[in-house]
Amino acid sequence: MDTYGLKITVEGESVLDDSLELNKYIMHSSYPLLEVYSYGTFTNNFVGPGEDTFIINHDLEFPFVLVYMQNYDGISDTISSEYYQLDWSTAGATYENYAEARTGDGTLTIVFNDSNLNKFVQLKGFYYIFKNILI
Amino acid sequence: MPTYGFKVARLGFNVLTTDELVFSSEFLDSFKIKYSGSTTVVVPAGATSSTTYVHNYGVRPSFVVYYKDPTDNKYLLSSGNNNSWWILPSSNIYCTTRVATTTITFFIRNNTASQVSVPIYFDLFYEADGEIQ
Repeated sequence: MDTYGLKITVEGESVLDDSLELNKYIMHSSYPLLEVYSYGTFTNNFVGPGEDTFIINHDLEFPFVLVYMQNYDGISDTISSEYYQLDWSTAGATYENYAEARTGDGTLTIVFNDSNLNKFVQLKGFYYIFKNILI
Repeated sequence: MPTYGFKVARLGFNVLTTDELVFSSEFLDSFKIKYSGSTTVVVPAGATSSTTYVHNYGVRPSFVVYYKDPTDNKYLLSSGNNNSWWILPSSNIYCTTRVATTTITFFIRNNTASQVSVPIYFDLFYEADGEIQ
């Protein structure tokens, strides 16, 4: 039997109501929150053809991450002003590019690939690394 | 070392000794939902369509977006493929989300021979632009 615990409900809901659905709790000691470990922005010059990488170091093993970055359209050679959640990709009959966020042991690697590009393309983004790990 | 604080341990763990914390006032931050919403985009056969939600936050919020592929009723994470003119073979319906300081736009590509209605579900967070708010 669970003797101790803490529950905090959203405004308007009774914390004593045991029939509440989980989305009515702001905090519940049975369910950990997503805890931000580190965050930041980046600007990097990527170059193809092939994969180029930008590495963000951390001290965690395979953390959960969210990364948002500008998109590069290699067909029209344009960079978006809006930010896209990674991963993104563009695939054509003779053209491919993509960007991926790869979580790892000690590193978050932003991977950029373009099958045709032979110049630097500068992309901006931001990221959040969570203390909650995948494995 | 902080003199005062507040910690909540996971059920079954001793808050005085465990690292299995649900919450601690020493946490840097935890993500907070600012807005949860849904919308539906109708896309003609073999075409693209988009819809925009105006948030007017003045910053680019972090977000998580899922969409329902009506051809197989699976819920998929929206990711970027906006520029593709060549549909990925693994998907009939593709959704891209792009965020700006005032808007978030959902862009749908329909590679089927029928018109489809694509439900979209999204959360926008207070955490934005690589900062904690």
